[in-house]
Amino acid sequence: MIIITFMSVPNIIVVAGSSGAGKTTWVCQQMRDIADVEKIIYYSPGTGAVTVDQTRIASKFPGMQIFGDGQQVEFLNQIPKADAVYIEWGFYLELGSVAQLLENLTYRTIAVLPPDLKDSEYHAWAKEIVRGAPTQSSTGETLWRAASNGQVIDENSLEEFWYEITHDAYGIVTRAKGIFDVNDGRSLYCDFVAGVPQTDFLELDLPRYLEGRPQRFSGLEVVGENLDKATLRQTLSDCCLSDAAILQYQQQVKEILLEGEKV
Amino acid sequence: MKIAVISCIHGNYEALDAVLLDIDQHSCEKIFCVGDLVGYGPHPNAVVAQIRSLDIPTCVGCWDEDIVEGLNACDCSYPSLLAEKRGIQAHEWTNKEINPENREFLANLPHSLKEGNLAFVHGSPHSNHEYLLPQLDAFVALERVISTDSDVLFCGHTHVPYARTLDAGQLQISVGRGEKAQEITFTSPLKRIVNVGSVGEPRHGRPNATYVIYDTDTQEVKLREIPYDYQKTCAAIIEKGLPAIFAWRLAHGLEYAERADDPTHVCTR
Repeated sequence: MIIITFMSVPNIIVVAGSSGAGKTTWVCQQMRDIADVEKIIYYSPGTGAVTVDQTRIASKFPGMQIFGDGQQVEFLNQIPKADAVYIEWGFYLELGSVAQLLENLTYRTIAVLPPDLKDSEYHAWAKEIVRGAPTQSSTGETLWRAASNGQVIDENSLEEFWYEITHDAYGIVTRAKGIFDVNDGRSLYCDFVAGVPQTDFLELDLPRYLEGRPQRFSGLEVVGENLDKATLRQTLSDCCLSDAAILQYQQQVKEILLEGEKV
Repeated sequence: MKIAVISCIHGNYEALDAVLLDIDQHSCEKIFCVGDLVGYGPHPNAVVAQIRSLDIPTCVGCWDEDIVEGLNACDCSYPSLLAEKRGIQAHEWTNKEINPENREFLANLPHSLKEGNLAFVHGSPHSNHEYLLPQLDAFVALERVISTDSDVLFCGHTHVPYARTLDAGQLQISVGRGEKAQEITFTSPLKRIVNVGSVGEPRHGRPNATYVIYDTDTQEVKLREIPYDYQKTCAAIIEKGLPAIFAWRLAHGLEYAERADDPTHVCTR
């Protein structure tokens, strides 16, 4: 057990809720009016190596302290120095484990839930219910994740693959999100929630990666029923560019950017 | 006289069977086929055998050509890396599956066909890989028809049927360069491009087969859309060991692989 003595207790908020209801979006909304995010902590356990939400938040709020799996001790050590702490509790984690993590601490519980969800375990657990997106979840859902760090995805292939994922070619998908490095060095965030209007790919505010294979996170998370995980993995791999193609695209982009600077 | 024009069967025997039945019910006197008998679908031999047995005049499609000469796709063919990889999988499977007799038949198909003022090609008169999309620049489209010395050009390859009328217009071209350049002006009569869609691999968002019936007396073009038991083809795709995604895409009218949809692109080979 880790025992920490707190000089002052920051505002700790644990946000949980259904897959795709908008937990990360809610956290981002809370950050909007905060000028200095350096004393704000975001912790999202249980994501393994597929740190889609952590990467998205880090790109949106540079300077914010972000923690994930394998960083629990560091996270707990940083709590006394923080002004506020946001813990995002994935739908795949036991709600009862929150109390174990934050044993001696006072915290606020918030559940972001679809409007039609009634009398769930979240209702009993949360102090406050936030109305989230009208998601469509079912009982037979499984979660599939794949990290693709170091890979560059052909953007046209990604569009087609994303269309297939979100139109149930690999199982009935209720939620999908991913971050991918594409041909021209940009990092794209892809987001899908069944029952919610589709959004375009969002370019993350990260520098273009134009020097070989990207040394930063990329990967995909899919939630759904009867997922064909082997084919998902193979298709993701089929979208990845070779070393030669990566080099060729990066050279082209550098030349275009250089021409732009001259003008 | 009513003629039927079919294209892009892509080894889908169930779809071909349904289309031939519909043609029969419309009393067409002749059938023309503008290629792509094989590729992606599970029954390449049955499709070629049927076309041969009915003695349907057929010109070669890019997939037929590639099965004979080896994979020879150009930049026009695949809009993405994923499509290219799927195309290669389909090519390799078909290449193993096709029997020598049918391969020989494909090897002897002509690039184009003519029947009076009608011309038939797979992609365009310039290349079997070129897409004559409905939004293609009018001058380029007109040039493609004029190059066949016909009034109506039937094609396929895009998998989306359409009929486009190119109104009579005055064309001015410059021959030669600098001071020696000669301006030539001529008037082009009305021309048409008729894309007959795809029998076995539609991409109009539904699984139904499409083809065209053309009346040579009235010049009427009828775009036909024929429902058939596509689930049988989907089951055969999986049974024969082709990628399951081909079945999913067929069921959704999305082609087995992907589409090319850049109307400004002109094949340069």
